[in-house]
Amino acid sequence: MSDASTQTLAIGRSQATAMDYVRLMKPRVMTLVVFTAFIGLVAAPVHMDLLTAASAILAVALGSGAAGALNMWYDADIDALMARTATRPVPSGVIAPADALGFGLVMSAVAVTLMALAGTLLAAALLAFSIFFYSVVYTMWLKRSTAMNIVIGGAAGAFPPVIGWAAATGQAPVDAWLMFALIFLWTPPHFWALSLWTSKQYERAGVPMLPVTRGAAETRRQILIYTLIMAPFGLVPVMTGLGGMLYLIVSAVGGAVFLACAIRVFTSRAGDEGASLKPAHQLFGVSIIYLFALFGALGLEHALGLYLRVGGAA
Amino acid sequence: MNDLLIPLIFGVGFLVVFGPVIIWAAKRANARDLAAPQQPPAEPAAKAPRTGIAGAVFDAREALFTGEMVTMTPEQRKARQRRSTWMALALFAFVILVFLITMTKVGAQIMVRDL
Repeated sequence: MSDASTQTLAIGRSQATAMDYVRLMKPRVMTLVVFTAFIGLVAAPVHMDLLTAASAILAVALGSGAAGALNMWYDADIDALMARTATRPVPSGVIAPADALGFGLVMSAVAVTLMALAGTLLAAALLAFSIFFYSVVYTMWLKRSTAMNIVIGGAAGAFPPVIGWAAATGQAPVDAWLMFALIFLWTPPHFWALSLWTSKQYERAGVPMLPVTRGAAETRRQILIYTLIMAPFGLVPVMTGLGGMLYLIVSAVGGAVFLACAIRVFTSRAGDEGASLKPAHQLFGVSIIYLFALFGALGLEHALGLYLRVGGAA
Repeated sequence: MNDLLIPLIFGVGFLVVFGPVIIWAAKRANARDLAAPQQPPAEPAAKAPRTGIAGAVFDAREALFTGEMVTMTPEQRKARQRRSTWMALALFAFVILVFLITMTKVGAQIMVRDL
């Protein structure tokens, strides 16, 4: 090739490391997704050998990471405007948007294929749908168009236990959808607590979160309403036999603490100008512990044989 | 055979269903980027000396497609090498995993066949 036909250009070349790609997959969100999918798999009344079970969980993790990468690719413009997200790999310029898109698409295909191979076709279909729901329905549509983005979009994060159950059995019975409903109802109060102290950032980015569109007082009221529905609903798995005595105790105590924190937020002025955000921080922390405790109890009962049926013998 | 074929069809089918939506979103994102104020192009930098056979091969390969020579700093080259290593390891692990899953699922029936 002659020198005349070539040009030397200084163009942007990535210095991204493997860790940057791990960050692109939202590892903290992935932790919760993997955990709940694992519990769904363990709670299913079918034995799955270790390799295929681990592969199914890996597929869920990759699917979650793929959805996270697609989310970061699409939201790079608004992420750059918020302090909480400005350091993410795409808005900070560490990973090029096209690379994030390619990574997300390839990971999606790998995750769905792996799930179809290791788990079942139903699990693969649910995984594909949840990736689609999070990256297209939530990220591209709901997030920028309605204050109810978290309520409907929360479904994406609620799928993992159903996927885990379907991976083991090829079915998705009522008990699996109960776990879905638990996460679905938990999501709004959890995220609205966070949005009480990040509303200024959302406002600057033009994201219509509830505190931005309806104000902090309405957000505190909605948090309480959703908690009033969620806390008693946490006891329903005991009625269907999914949860045993341990789950009942965790659910009752956890629900009561969650509700107490929600009442504290409701009676506070958290989110108002100059008011203390401590109640919102507290609720946010408690909400994470609550969900881990709830699913942890289910996991302990089903995996370690601690299941003790409420109102009768195991 | 179906044990392998169906998952592959599923993966490709996912891209077929998902692809058009992504292309639509990409077009929308591009339109948004075009609407944003453009940055002036960077000044051309001096050509860095090629190091080793691999560097020459990579430069030549990129020139083949774009007609442009790409100059990378040593840090960028090192970063790409590390990414390539991770990618190779991930692909190798994926192949092994698929093989093991297939053996686990088919293994028990592998001797059950018509003679």
